[in-house]
Amino acid sequence: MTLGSATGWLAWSLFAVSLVLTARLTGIAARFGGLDRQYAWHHRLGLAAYVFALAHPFALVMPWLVAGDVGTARFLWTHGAVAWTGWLALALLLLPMAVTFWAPLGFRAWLSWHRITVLAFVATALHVATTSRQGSVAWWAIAIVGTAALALRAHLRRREAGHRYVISRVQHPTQACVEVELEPLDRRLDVRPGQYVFAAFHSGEAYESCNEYHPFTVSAIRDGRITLTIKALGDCTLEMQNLTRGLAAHIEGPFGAFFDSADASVPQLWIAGGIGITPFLAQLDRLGTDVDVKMAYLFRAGADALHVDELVAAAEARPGMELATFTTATDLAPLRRWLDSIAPLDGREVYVCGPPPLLDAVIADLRERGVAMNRIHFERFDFR
Amino acid sequence: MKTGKVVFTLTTLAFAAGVAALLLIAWVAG
Repeated sequence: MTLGSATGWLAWSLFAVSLVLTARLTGIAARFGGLDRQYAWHHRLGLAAYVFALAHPFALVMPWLVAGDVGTARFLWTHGAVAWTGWLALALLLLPMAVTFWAPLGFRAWLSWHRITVLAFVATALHVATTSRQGSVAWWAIAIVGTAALALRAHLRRREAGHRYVISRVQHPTQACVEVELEPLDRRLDVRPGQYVFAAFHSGEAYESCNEYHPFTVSAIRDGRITLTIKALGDCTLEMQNLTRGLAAHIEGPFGAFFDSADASVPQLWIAGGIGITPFLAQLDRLGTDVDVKMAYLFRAGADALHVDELVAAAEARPGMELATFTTATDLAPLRRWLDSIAPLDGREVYVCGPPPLLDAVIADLRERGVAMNRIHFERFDFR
Repeated sequence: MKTGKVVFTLTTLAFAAGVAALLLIAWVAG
């Protein structure tokens, strides 16, 4: 196999595997250590496929260029269907990736653009089919893997694909948040504190469904019922503030392993920002009294704070638990002073959950304070 | 994401420059 041929096959096969990694299946996600890490591999393989695809035309003409036969290199443009399907596939791959990296779009608009990669996969299949490799075992294998991955993804994204639940209780703990308790209608999901699910709701009198799955960390697990705390962050989650009791829901998951390494005998540090309090609320239900937990909860304003009374009560009931709350938008100086007061930190397992900028700032701060990376536990809700 | 953006941008620019160079030398070669 020539270098030109090898780069092409590598690009297409990595492309197909990256499509497989878009499927939200608990078994696959667990093998990667979480859905966010599975998606990180989807990104890496997709980018690797793109780089090999860019290198492919140059690798093809390199032997002629080295031999000084520059004119022959023009076959890249003049070789009929092989040439134009190849350039088309490259353009269809480049476009959605450029949008991903350079256009600040909302999730829905981004997803519409990203679906162009399906056309890129088809164009690549046609490109390979127009060469002398058509009908080969490798062509069929990659085409089937990619097509099956796309079909599976389409199947899983249907609202009805998830487990059936019904909303059994609705509360509004803050103005911008709704809390829904969900009761299973068939098989109950085995959810652990710190895990998240994808939820889609059916329309009701006051609620018009956007028919999409959205990820939410479970904030309580009681008797097979799960509670989701939903903050209005976009159009869909704003509409979800109108959810009412009795509406049907479909749930995918659970995913994530945020608290899986937690050991009650090891001192812990919990840092929550805004809606990032939800996994800690679920963990509180399982927390014994003999624990050493220092907890910081940051929120923008008092009206945004979720379940502070519950947190205060939990801290008062546990001699080894300390709770510090901070009303702040971006200033982390008060948090840093508090971290200084509870040093040393290197003996603690640290759990951080909150918006990405807070996550990045806190992790950098903890690293500066000598906390090893394997002691800092966090998950990113980055499913693009 | 940041590393991905850098890799994407640099490889795309290098690719565009390479294609332009290929076109040029193929055209010069007649």
